Amino acid sequence: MVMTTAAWDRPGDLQDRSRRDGPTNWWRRRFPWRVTAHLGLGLLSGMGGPVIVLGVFAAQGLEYLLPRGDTRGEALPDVVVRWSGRAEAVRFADLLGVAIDVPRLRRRPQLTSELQGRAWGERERAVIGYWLVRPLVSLVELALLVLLLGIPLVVAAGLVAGWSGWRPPASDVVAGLPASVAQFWPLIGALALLSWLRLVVAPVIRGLGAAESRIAGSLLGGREAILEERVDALMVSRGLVVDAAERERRRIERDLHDGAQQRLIALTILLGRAQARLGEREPEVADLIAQAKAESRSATTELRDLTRGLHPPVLTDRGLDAALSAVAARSPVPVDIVVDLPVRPPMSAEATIYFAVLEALTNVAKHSGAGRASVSIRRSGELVVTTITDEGRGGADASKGSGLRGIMDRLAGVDGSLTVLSPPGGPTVLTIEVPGGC
Amino acid sequence: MAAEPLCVVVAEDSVLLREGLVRLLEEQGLRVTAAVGDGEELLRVVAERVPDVCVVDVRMPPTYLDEGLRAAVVIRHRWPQVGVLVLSQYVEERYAVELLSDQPGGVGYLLKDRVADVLEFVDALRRVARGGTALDAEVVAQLLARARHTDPLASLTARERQVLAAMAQGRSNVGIAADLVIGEGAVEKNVSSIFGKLGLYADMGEHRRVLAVLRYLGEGRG
Repeated sequence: MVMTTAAWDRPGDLQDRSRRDGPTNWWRRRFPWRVTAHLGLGLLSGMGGPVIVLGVFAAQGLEYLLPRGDTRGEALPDVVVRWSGRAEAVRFADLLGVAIDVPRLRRRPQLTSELQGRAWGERERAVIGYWLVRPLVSLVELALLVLLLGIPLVVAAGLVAGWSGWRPPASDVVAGLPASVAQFWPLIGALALLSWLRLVVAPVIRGLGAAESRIAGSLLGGREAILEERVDALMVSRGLVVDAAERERRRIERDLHDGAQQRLIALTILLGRAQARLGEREPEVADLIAQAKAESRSATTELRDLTRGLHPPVLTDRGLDAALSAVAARSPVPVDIVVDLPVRPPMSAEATIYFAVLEALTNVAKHSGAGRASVSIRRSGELVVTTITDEGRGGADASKGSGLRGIMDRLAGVDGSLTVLSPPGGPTVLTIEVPGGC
Repeated sequence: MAAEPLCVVVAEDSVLLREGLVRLLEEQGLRVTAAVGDGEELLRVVAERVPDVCVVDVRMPPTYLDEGLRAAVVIRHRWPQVGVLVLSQYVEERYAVELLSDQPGGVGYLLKDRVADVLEFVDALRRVARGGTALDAEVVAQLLARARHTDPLASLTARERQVLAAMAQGRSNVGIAADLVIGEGAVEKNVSSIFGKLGLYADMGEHRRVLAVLRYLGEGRG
């Protein structure tokens, strides 16, 4: 809830203006008419709203309030909850100038069902709670207003009576007043009434407006709910961005594989055929062809290394175990790899772990001086925990090596973490934790 | 050998490469009985006119993942007499193990660009058709690297390891001798020493060579 200059709380500038504006405007501005109108409308919405909203829910059954995973379509209660909250927010915004950020409460298809089930349930219940509290608030307000306005009414009735010659009975004070004062009696009464409105009723009305705003703010809006929703949305959108980047890498890999790489291989094969057909003849031409073939082959190899660095296809096909087996096989330092994952993690997590292990093993080979390394990947609750251990000289520092830095950057994108334990003299243990999405 | 040309089925989704392969094979005197573009068609064609050997690309429609490899495993299971030479732009140790795990013979796994070494490629294809093996040097390197620290390997000498690597590529003793520039007798001595260290004896038949490689990988059933 963001409170802008609220109608019950604007002293300075209005006082200044009131001096210029004269008494009528002064009075118009000094009395919280808009808050009064707000409260008056509130009496309507406070009685009508609950009937509509709770009625719809009663018709739908209470099970609707339970968290659930279903995310498709928008049922009538969804619409009612969303728009009833919005309508109230408009009342607060237009008449009080109080902005209540009603969480959108809209089902976004890209939210995971788990996330949605949780977030949706809580906020929905808050809105229902609001509509349960609303009539009580209205009743209290009504009672107060009746009381506050009832007193001056009685006084006014007295005034009217006074005008017609009636005097307060047996009042020594009044009776003792000189006639000159008594003749101003109606004027005194009017002033008393105005003072009453100004000094008692107006603050009470402002207070009620403030109280209502607070209730509505905490139930309909609330900074926490908004922040929570933003965090949820950001988590989801970041996940989508990371996934999109990964998908893009795969797409580029595939495009190169099906395009340039195929053509280069076709070219190499063509040169091979030319070579074979030439046989022993024209040794000089044969030599040129052999050179051309060697060139196109090294181009193929370079391209292959490049595309593998983008996204190794075997990672998609067979998962971490197979992809890392190949990494271990190419590693100059012998590596033992144990992958114990009953279920494959999501694509982005797999890719992150793969490239992290790749980088870590490169570091082992380059800096550790270790004779061997071991990699273990297993699930621990919702995390996939990867441990890379080597018996090298230790002293690895995440703040120095760009390699470790790169791992951390990549991990940040999937809410992962990296712990480096590397005392001088070794051993070095890297622990990488990545949410497994399960 | 010269009497009957080898019957080959080619499965490759890229038209460019498929045409290139077919031409190349025909120029080398082999008979290409069919050239197809995906795994399902390959299986249908093989069922129809059982060829001597298939040349299969790993990545093919519809999923562009490992269709060809799956088809190859099916062929090896259903038609053990048909040789399968798998071609790929990447060679993966895991795929090699999958290909080899069923039975050791009649299988090959090469990087696509090896096709450009026409004579060697055709040689490998014939070997696979005859029930031999042809593994890419890079696959062998990966397999051996992986097996480097498992038991019996530790007892092999560097030379024996070289010989074993060459064996895994499907080379004969003569070929190995030429490759390593050593005498044929030396190769034989190394080979029998390898067999001895791995516990492979003469009564295991002629697949001893392949079993030696598989034993290294921990995949051998012998």
